[in-house]
Amino acid sequence: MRRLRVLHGVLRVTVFALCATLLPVLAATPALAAPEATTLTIVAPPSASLGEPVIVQARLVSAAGAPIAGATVTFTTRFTFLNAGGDMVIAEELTDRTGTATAEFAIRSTGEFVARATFRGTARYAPAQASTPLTVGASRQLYAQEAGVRIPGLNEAPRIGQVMLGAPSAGIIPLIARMWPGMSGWPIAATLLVIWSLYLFVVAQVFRVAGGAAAEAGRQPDAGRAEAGPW
Amino acid sequence: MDTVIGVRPREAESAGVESPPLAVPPEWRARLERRALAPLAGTGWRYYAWIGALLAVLGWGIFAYTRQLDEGLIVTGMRDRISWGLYIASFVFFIGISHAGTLLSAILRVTRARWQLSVTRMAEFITVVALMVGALFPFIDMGRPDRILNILEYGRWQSPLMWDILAITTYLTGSTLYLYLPLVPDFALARDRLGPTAPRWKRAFFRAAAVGWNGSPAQRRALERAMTVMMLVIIPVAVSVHTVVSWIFAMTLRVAFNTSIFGAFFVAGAIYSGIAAIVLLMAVLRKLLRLEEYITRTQFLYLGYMMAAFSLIMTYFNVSEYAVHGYKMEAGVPFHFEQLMVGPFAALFWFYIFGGLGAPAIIMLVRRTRTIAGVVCAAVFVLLAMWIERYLIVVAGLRVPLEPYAPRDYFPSWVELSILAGAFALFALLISVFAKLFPVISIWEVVEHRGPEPGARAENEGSRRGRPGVAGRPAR
Amino acid sequence: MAKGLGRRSLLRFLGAGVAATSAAGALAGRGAEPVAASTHPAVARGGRLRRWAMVIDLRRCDGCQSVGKPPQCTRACIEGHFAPQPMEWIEVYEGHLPGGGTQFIPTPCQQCQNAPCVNVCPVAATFATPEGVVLIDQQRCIGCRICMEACPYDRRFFNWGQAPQPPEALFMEYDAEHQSPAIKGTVMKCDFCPDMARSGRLPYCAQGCPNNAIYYGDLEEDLATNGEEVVRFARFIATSSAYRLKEDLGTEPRVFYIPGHGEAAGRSPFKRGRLPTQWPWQKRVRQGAVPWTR
Repeated sequence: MRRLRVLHGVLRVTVFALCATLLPVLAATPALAAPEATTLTIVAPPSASLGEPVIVQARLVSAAGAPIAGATVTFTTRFTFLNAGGDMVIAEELTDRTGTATAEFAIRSTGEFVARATFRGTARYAPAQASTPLTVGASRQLYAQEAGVRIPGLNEAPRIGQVMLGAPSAGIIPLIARMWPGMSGWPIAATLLVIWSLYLFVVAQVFRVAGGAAAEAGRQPDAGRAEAGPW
Repeated sequence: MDTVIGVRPREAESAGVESPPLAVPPEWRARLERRALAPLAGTGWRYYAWIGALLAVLGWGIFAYTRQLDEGLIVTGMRDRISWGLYIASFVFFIGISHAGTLLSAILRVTRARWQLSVTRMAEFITVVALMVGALFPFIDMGRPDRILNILEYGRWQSPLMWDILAITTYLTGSTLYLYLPLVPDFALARDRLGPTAPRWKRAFFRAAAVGWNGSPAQRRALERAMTVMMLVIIPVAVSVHTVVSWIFAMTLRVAFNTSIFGAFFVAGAIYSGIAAIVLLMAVLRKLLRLEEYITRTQFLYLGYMMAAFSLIMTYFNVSEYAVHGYKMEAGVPFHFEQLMVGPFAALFWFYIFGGLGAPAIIMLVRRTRTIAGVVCAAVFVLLAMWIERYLIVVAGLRVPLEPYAPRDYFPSWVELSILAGAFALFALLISVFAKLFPVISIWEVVEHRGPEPGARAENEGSRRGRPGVAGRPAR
Repeated sequence: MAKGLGRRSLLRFLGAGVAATSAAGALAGRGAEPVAASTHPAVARGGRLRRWAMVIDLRRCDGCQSVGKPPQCTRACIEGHFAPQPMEWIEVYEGHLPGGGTQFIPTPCQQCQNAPCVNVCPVAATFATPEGVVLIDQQRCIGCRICMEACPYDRRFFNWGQAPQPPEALFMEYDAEHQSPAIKGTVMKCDFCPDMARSGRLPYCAQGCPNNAIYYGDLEEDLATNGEEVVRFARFIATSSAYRLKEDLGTEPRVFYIPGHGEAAGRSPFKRGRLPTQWPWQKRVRQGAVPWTR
């Protein structure tokens, strides 16, 4: 009977000790609380124009339907370039109060793409992903360098509404600065023409001198000779 | 017996000259004609020896150039980080000297100055010859001279080198015309004076070159019209020439070149070195051809004063340049100032400042040194200093590092120095040949517009033994 | 299925900005998603012209100190083009940083959009292609070297003598995009390897870099790659605070630099010095020619 009571006491101490050590450990392991499932929906216009801004939205809600705010949603698309390929990050946005992350970007490639939104997941929420097809058309050359000897209308097609990496400079002075190198030949040519015409005039005077002498020589054979000086 | 070729009683409406014809003593006039035409009449052995020596140096220069053609520009001291050197510096120097004629013949003519009429021909010699020699240097400097025609076939308006080629060609043509026009009456004088004893080719040459000049009013009008047009046109052409030469540097982004002052700076420096070149040539020819009566202390002094004035202008430009950049000390400027003023170029730089800019002004200000010898000495300083200045602009300007690397040093090689010596020999050779073919004094202009120099004494005729006579007449 | 795929792509994104997977790995086993592929690597989708540009990530460049060799970008370029000694068409300068450290700056031709060299050439031997690459036609160059005075980046080199020719050059016809064989008395420089891009490959320097620090890209289609990952050009340079060399000169270069000193390769900024460049091909075929110095 006493042996049974001692055994009972030892058991209670052991269980108590075990609980004392394990309970803090259990409390410190939040992973044991399973992350809540989330749903990401992506909305994008089905087609877009090359170089024009496109707005893509992704909405992140928990399994219970509650919107998740302040989460980072990454927008990517798969791409190849030269000999490499992979997922390319287009934008990274935070979700707002309604759980919507809005990304605005201009796609500079034509063709069919799959725009994908990815939520990496946190301790509390599970990762999620969504994708939607996107077609980009209306191809036109976008990038035009600011500097260089390019004359719009001459060696470059004039265009309106360009999309460039840098802010385009507007106004008459940059336009002249762009066109000047090609036009600089005309003032130089005009100046040279004036000067060489004057030279021709001068040469004509020399011929007039010669012609005057011939005419006089014709009238008086020895009029061209003066008396020999006192030598 | 007091008519002289080129002078006839003029109608009132004859263009150009304002003053009535001068009454000049016939003795003086005859002496002038004799002295000025003597080189054209005959040649002594000393002349041939001189030409021979020049040809030897020129030949050595051509040999050096063949070495360069064979092996490439590696025989020079230039390398990637200082890719222009002695050739381009000499190019700028010679083109600069060519402004001698512009200043004297054109600018002073426009202002009706008369004192320079006795030296205006020499100035035009210098201009034409300096342009010819200077224009060779860019071709010597080219890595592929066999592709010269590419410039014509593919030339671009927008390139500073193309501007150089156009401007120098225009200036050379203009200067040649401007040399020739006042020569016409002198050729006529030579044609008439150097009579039957002269060899046939000489007679034919003078007759052809004189284009039948006989001093008639119609001819005079034509000549005056032509000379007026040329003297007005040649001034802006000359200014533009050295401005575009400066722009092969100023159109780049190098620290030492990227300044808008270069155009005016180079033109002023060109006129400065041009005046010095005239002074030197004046002194040499005056002694050799016994022209002391016509080229007197007046000419030297006036040119000396102009040299002093331009030295002050150059000082002003230099002060502007160094003060403006030195105040701000943008990136690269401290290195450039250091290398010029206390570094490897210090000796050259300070010689340029004190010897080239300071000395001429001081020589002209101090009465003791204001002599012909003093002015000639100043001219020598100026020529040396201006060549050094071109060298400093090119080499020190390129030496400033563009990226974090150790700056490179440049020393001209034997090929470059030989070619430079050959170029100087060619310069002297052409001047000597010109002096044999054309009278070195513009006889008719001095007779008509200047007359005897006040205070000049007729030099003793001296012994005429051994000197070939003129037209076989006995000495007076 | 979707969640598993998402986790795999999640792991990949954790390495975004630092190379993680090979191209083959990215493409294999991805399922039937369409990949937008161009018909020709040198032409952007829709038949548009490429506008080549580069981004050099200085966080990854340590002057090849970690591999104990001379800079490999320079080596690859020299071997690929037979660049004669002492030309380093892409040269790794060691610039001083405030605070006492140094950084390595691989400097190819900056392919300026307002190129001073193009502006001053008297015969148009130096010209810009519509794709923005500045090339030199050595069969037209007259060797006046005004372009070398004009270039503010020290990126042009002159053939002062006749460089020895490798045996491969005998079978090559001269082409402005490859510049071999070297022609005496003409200028040479980095040409951005447009012939490589046309066959879908990166330039030699980008291929040679062991840290994948050099990105080659297209401003038209707004893409760049260093061989491992593809990035959006504008976004990449904006988020990395990229800059250009000597921006205030107005040359508008097409080479962007991301500031750094090789920290991504583990380099301390105080570890100075790199090994000097060599020209092994020229040692093989020296033929008695003496190389000149810079």
